[in-house]
Amino acid sequence: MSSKQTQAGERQLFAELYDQHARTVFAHAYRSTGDRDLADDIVSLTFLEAWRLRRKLRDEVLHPRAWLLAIATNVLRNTARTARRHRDAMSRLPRRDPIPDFADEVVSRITDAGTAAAAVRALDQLGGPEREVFTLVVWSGLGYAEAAQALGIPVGTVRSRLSRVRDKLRRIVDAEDPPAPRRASSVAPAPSGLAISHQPVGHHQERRP
Amino acid sequence: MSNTRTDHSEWNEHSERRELARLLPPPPHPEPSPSQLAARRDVLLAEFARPRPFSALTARWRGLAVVAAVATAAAITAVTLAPDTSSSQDPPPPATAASVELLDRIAKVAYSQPQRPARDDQFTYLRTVSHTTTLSEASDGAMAPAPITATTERWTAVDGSRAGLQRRDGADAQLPAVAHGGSLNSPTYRLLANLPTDPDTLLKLIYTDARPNHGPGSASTAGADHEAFVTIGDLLRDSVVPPQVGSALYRAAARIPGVVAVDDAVDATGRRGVAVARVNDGRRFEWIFDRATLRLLGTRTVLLQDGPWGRTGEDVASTAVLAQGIVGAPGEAAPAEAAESSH
Repeated sequence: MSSKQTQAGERQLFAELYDQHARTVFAHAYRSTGDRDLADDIVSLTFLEAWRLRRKLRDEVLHPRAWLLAIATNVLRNTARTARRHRDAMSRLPRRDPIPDFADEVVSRITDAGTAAAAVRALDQLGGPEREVFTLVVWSGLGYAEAAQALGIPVGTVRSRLSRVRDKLRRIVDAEDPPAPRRASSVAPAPSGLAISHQPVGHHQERRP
Repeated sequence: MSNTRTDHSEWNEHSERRELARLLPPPPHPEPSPSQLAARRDVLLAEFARPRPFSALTARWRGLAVVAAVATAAAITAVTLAPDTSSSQDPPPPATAASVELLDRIAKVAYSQPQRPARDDQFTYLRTVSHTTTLSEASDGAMAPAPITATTERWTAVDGSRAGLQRRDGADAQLPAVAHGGSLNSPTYRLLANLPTDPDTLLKLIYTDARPNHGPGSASTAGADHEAFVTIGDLLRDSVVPPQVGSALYRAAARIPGVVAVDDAVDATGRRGVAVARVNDGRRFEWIFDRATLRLLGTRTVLLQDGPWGRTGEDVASTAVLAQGIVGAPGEAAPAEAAESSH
């Protein structure tokens, strides 16, 4: 039952939210997926979802950044489905302009995408719930309590998941250092532990017709 | 380093975080371009300002609300905003006897399909034609449907470990590898092959996936039942499904409340058949099967009330599955198969 005025106020608030946090959400999405276009869409979907759930923001949310990252986590879990929910809005978003910053773009793509892809592969060795806690706390800098709230789990669970992540990552690091080929029989070993084996390009899961 | 518990939990948090960051440092990320950010910001803010009937529709769950297909574009003139009264309903009745019987026959046919051996280094292949329309805002503020027809081919690694490919109307786009072998929302063949083949167990799994987002209290207008129905439909239409699992999916669908049979339906390429369907939010979602072979032809969504996307009886989206199979590499097509035609 929002009056025009309230609506305008809410939009203003969201404009500020976007200005303050869009980059954070983008970084989180990019690191979680290694895919730039997908990360762009995750950002838009996150804000569309945030708008849909804005009553919560007014009533319950103390830390907007943590709240947005929690929404982004859900969007990452259910990207295709969220994209369907907001399909008309998404269809109106400008696609990325392929022309500007071309050289820059290619260089940064190769270097960043390679490292990101390797990081995503390492993440792949963690279970979904562990990944989520890890990326929120370690890469995106949420406190344990914030992450617990964002994920709707007790702080103790955040701790225990992180300690499992630590054990797993130690094993992975031990296994990869000194750098070893991933497969025992590999003919051409990867150049380093952070090798580029695939470079995700463009497009996320198809938005289904 | 001693790990004795102290009151300095903040310090512990700090040091633990640092160690984790050392083990797997945050990878660099490109900066989103300022112009891109600004452009998207403007569109989002415009989106938020949309008049209420539209934002209500937008928030409705099924994307198909938004994508209106035009069978006969000329017919679409009325822009009556249907009041959103459909979300509070009585619980739907069990699947009708006719739909249960039809699904049983379909499940038997599915079960008897040859099992395709699939290796992890292979790819699933799908070719579909779809009719959809985006509802877009004209300069005078009116909403006008813009029809889109696309032929899409999609290759997905059997185990999801490598990048896939999507070719839409001849334009290629690489698809990222599917993390963790996929999910019910973006499955790999390997994931599907490992699903339970007991229909009750399978349905429970599907509901478990649907409830958090569409169950009670989620504000979803679809509801868990419809979400389960749509999830199954998406799996059947958009993936290559092993026979036993396909069969179990059909049997699971027969257990979803509100499922009905439809005598006559037509897919995106004009093939007619019978359908299994479910009504939600003023639209009927149909899975269309060849009358004789009972193989899946495609899907369609039909309006049951007049609205901005069209009039009662028009379809708002339709798809035809033209070919599917297991192939060696992206770019390699599987032959059109029996699914394409039986006459």
